[in-house]
Amino acid sequence: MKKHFLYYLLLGSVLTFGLVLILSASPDRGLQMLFLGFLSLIYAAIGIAHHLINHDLVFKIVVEYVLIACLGIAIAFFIFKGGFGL
Amino acid sequence: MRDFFYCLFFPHPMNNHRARVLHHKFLLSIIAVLIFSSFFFSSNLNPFADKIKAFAEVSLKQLFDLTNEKRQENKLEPLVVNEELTKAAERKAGDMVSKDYWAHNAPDGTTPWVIIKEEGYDYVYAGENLARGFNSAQDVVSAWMASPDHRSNLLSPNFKDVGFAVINGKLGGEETFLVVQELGSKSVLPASVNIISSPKQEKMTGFSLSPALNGLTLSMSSEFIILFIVLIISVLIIDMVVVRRKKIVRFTGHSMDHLTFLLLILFVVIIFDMGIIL
Repeated sequence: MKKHFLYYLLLGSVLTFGLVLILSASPDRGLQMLFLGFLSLIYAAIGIAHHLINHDLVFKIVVEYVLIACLGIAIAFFIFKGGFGL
Repeated sequence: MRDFFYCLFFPHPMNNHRARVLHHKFLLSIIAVLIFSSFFFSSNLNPFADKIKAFAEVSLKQLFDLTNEKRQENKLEPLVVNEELTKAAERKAGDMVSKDYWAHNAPDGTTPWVIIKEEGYDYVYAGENLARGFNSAQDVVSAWMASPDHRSNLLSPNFKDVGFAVINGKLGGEETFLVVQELGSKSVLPASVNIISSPKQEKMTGFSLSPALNGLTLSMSSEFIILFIVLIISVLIIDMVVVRRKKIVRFTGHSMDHLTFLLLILFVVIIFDMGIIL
């Protein structure tokens, strides 16, 4: 954890900044979705770059970060579209 | 069976030291289900469509009762449902959905006052409160009461009549409930000055800690999604603890990264489920 302190500081700052952007875009849900999409891309890029710097990047790690980013977008999109309608 | 559930949530040699819910295939399946559901449930095939209509019917009466409850608490005369104001509210709600806007004034500049007059209500005083995306009538009235401008409309002694409209529609691609409340009076009551209640624009966002949000009701969809996110976060925490204790070496992404990102998604779900007033 200590070894990755700067990385987590960067990730935390980016995600916090993203959350503030999403909040400031209220009530425009479309714009909020767009910001979340960009934030998810940045999240995946930062995660992959960190593994690349640490020389432990393999293909399945790339897929994992992309899938988690897509999961985030899919969850938000599901709520954006009204969920189950209930 | 026990092994199956253990492997689903805990790292174990049988699942390659990674809980199955974090495996690529599982994540991909969840993404596919969510995307399919997003389109399926917002289409006409939604089996819950009737329940949505039932919600709208219940809300109209609840909105009326709750509004009068607040007025009586403040020693004011209760409002009376007016047919012309109800028609004006329905027309305004329909106009917002058909022209895809969220404002007191239409994009062509038509004000609510024009609609109210055109529906035959010759007002001396008039006011309009709007809300969208709330999951209960209680939340709508609480949000209005927490906003000074909306509260002054709700508790104005100048108003005698009220009309409500609650419709389900799409605004900016988002499926949402719209609530329109038109208030008015035809005769001059305590004040003699002709004042039209100003529709000052105000929005309520996620960070507001006003009393209106204390009783926030989340939709069933959001509760379901929040439970799912909490499950994944719990699995990630277990994963971090087990891997550290057993000193397992493996090539995977950092669980801490995913946990942080999913926490952000959790906030976003709550924000998306919050209503907005105008």
